[in-house]
Amino acid sequence: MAEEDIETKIKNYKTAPFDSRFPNQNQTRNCWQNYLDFHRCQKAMTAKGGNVSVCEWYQRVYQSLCPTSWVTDWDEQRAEGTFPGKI
Amino acid sequence: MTHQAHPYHMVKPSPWPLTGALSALLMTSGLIMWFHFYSTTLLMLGLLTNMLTMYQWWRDIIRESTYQGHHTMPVQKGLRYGMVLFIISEVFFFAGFFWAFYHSSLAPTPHLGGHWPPTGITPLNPLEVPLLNTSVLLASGVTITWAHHSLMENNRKEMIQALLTTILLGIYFTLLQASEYYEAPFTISDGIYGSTFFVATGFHGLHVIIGSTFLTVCLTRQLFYHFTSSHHFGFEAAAWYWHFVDVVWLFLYISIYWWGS
Repeated sequence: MAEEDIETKIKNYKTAPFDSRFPNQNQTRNCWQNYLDFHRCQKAMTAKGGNVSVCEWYQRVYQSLCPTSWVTDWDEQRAEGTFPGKI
Repeated sequence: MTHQAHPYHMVKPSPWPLTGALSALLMTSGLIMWFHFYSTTLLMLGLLTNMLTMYQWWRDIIRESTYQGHHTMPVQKGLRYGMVLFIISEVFFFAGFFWAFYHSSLAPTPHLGGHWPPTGITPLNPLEVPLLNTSVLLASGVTITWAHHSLMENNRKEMIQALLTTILLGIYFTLLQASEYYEAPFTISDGIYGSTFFVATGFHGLHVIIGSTFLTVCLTRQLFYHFTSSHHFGFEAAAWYWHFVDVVWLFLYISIYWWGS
């Protein structure tokens, strides 16, 4: 990894990079993990009074990868309290 | 006088294969009538003819063997092969349900929350009734072996005691499991967890009931002096089946109850 900080990485973002945790064609888990990571990061940063903008990376990745309908469904579930993931 | 010059059993014509096939047709079409048109008549008729076929077919086999002496060693050998092959087919039957369970539980989807057990499911504590059930079936495996050895050693009283204990343990398992089913916080319609749990354990429970019935028939036959210390294949077949049922439970316990919680 290059010696750049997270802000520069976010600024230079083009699309989701290769993630060796998810090397195969089925990228569902990649989308899901980044969706979770963004919302967990957001929750943790807000609770501790930190800078939420560092979480933006995860958001960029899941927005690149996930089908929009999934994101809409999950956002609605979170609003309703029926989201199955742990945030 | 003509006698057969071979040790095989040329079975006399019997109507039971036909009635069995007809009962299978009635049961399958009966299920359709029940599922789609809410009528159980055909299904009940199918179950009745199925029970009658089984009773009369197996009664005839007992007549041919115990009373008429047609079960020579080669005939018994064929029956052994048959029972082994049947049990192997049952292994494959359960393998399918285990495949389904592992398929869904090894890679839980986002819909389930990405973990197993899924969000919203409180699994049963494997150290409570399921562990008791495990000990009950393991104990029944011991008692049935005791019964077999008693039989081979001509110990009639102990054979009857041990076989009866085995059957009672089987019934105890069934009652415990029925109570678990009634009290469980989840149902068969609770997503893939519910489906895999109840279909796998449900078919297992059905096999426990079948096995217990088989053992009860053996007990009855023992009371009527059908078995000898060296020839008692019906009992051996029942014992093999019973051990198979026990082994399936062990796999269920390890996979679904323990790992799956």
